[in-house]
Amino acid sequence: MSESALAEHKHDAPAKPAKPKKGSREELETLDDYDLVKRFTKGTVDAFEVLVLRHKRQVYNFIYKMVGKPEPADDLFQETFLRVLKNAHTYRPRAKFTTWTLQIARNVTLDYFKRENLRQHVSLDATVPGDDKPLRNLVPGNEPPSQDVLLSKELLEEVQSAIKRLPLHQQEALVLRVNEELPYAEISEIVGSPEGTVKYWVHEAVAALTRYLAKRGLT
Amino acid sequence: MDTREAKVQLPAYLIGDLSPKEAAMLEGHLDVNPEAREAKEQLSRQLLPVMNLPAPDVGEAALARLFMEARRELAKPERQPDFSWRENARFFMRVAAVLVATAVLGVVVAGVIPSGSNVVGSLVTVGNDVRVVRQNELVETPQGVPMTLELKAAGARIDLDGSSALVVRGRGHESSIEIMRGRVIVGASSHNVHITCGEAEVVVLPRSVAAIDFDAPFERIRGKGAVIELQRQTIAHVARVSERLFGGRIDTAGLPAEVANRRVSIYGNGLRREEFMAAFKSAAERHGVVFTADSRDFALTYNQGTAGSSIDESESILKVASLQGTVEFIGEKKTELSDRSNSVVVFANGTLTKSSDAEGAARAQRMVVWAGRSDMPHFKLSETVSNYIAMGQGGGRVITVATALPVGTVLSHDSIRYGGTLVRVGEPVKLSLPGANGGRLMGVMSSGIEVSADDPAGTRYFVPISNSQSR
Repeated sequence: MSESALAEHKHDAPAKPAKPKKGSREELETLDDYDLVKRFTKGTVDAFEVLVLRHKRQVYNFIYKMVGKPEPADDLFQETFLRVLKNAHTYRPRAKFTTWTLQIARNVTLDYFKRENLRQHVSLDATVPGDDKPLRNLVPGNEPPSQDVLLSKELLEEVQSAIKRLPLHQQEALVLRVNEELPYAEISEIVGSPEGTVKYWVHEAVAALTRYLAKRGLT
Repeated sequence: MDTREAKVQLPAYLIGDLSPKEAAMLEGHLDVNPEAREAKEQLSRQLLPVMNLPAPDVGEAALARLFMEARRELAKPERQPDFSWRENARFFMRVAAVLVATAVLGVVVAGVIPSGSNVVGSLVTVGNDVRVVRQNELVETPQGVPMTLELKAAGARIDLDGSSALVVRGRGHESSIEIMRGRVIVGASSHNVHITCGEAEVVVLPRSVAAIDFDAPFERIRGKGAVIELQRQTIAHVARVSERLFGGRIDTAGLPAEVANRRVSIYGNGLRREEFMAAFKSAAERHGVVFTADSRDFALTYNQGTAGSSIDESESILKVASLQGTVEFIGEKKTELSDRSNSVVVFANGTLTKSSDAEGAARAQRMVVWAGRSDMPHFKLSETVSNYIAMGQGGGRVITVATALPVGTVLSHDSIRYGGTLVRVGEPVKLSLPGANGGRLMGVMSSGIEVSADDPAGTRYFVPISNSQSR
């Protein structure tokens, strides 16, 4: 093979993907959570941003489903990640970063409820104004349940407010299990209660909600 | 296992808490016990909304505040790492290198571009992704995926519906955008926002919100039968696309050029050949074009007698409405628009029709501008436009349903093909809606349809088109 053909042959070989520059956004995005924590504790603000963007959906959803409104949820989200930032030196990788952050989010949310004196648990089995409005108007009548069932915004709001009326421990267990689909071991770590207890809370919450939805005519 | 035991296990089964062995046992029992099966279906219906609660995302403003706060926190002197002398030397060498490089780059750049950065600095949120938009960058949204841009320095917020595109031209306080196509809501808080759409220019004054629908020629096709967006394309062009995508030969030779250049729109995804051809056939028929099939060959012939009279032949159509405050049209006097949103102006091929004219007002009353997102915290919109927007006949609030139209639905500009049936605007449509099994088709947009439900209140629903890629 001539030299030029060899050069051409070399040129045809698949090019190795260029390694992202150290400290660049691309490089940071390849790092695991613990490495990102180490980076931002050394002052790399981009590492913190990458970490927030990576986990914002899960953390925000937990907070939002606990408080039910976007305004306090935005503030509590911000407070959660600022606590993450300030306490990052205490984080050890024996716990998943999301577990640790959700623990912080939970504490921030509980502080908010305490501060605002907001939690007034109303049993789902009690009659409250508006309970006489049947939910069946918000869902398809005799259609069998299928992927095509359209869920109205109103129905979802009703369900959201029903969830808010559950006892707090049931509410957080339900959100983490049913909406965030976390394993019981992780939920147990976040809420600081044994797995069996958490499972019981989830089943109690599901039973209370389905009782309530049946009573409101969603059968 | 008996019915009572089965019912006790159902909640755990539906949320995936049973072991595989327990689940198999329960499934075996459900196969032979209709009462337990009915209980399972009832419980599934009740759990469906619990499991499908909306998953909103954190607000961009909160995210921006957090990042700013984080920068401040990390910049505090006590947070600086404790360098050793070796690291110190390395650090200062790096700083010196950066300073030199910056100075050299500054000299080069100063001669090439005008002063100021070309970064507009607007945070754009697309799903879970947040990024910065640069000046002159084309921002596009795929079908069914809305996007929000925030031009911080200008205090403007822009909501793009799916299948829309714009370019951010201005920077700093002088924000200006060029809408290439689609549906866009522009809110100005502290400064004017200049908008160009084709030949028209619009200025949104501070504390004002404008809704714009720019229906311009556009084509996007992602793979055979996947997402198809053919917007205001000529019949001749759509014939060529259908040949390319679905085979067969379409003879357009018999069509007069004027007819071949008439425009149609077809949107859909996961379309089969028959669905696409049927949509094209009905779109062409409205122009008096008869479509005949012979084996794998198709022919288009023109029959003047059947030509529709209400079809707008313009290359593009621009509809502008003010949802709040004042929107100014360049070269025209300022138009004060009420929050009743009945002041719709129409530009068609450069001809301006204003709602102050009798004809324009009548057209505005019949017209739906569009339905899209407008959850803008900076602006207090009236109830009529507080959620999803649809203006024109009846006006009022439109509730968006969480589930999209199934894959395989074809949208044309005034009809949909859904479950094998063609439904035109104004005709009844069978669709599973909250509280009703159907309604009347009120409007079709590239992003979905508007339906007035068969309930006593005639509730308006917006049903988006699916963005899923597979059937």
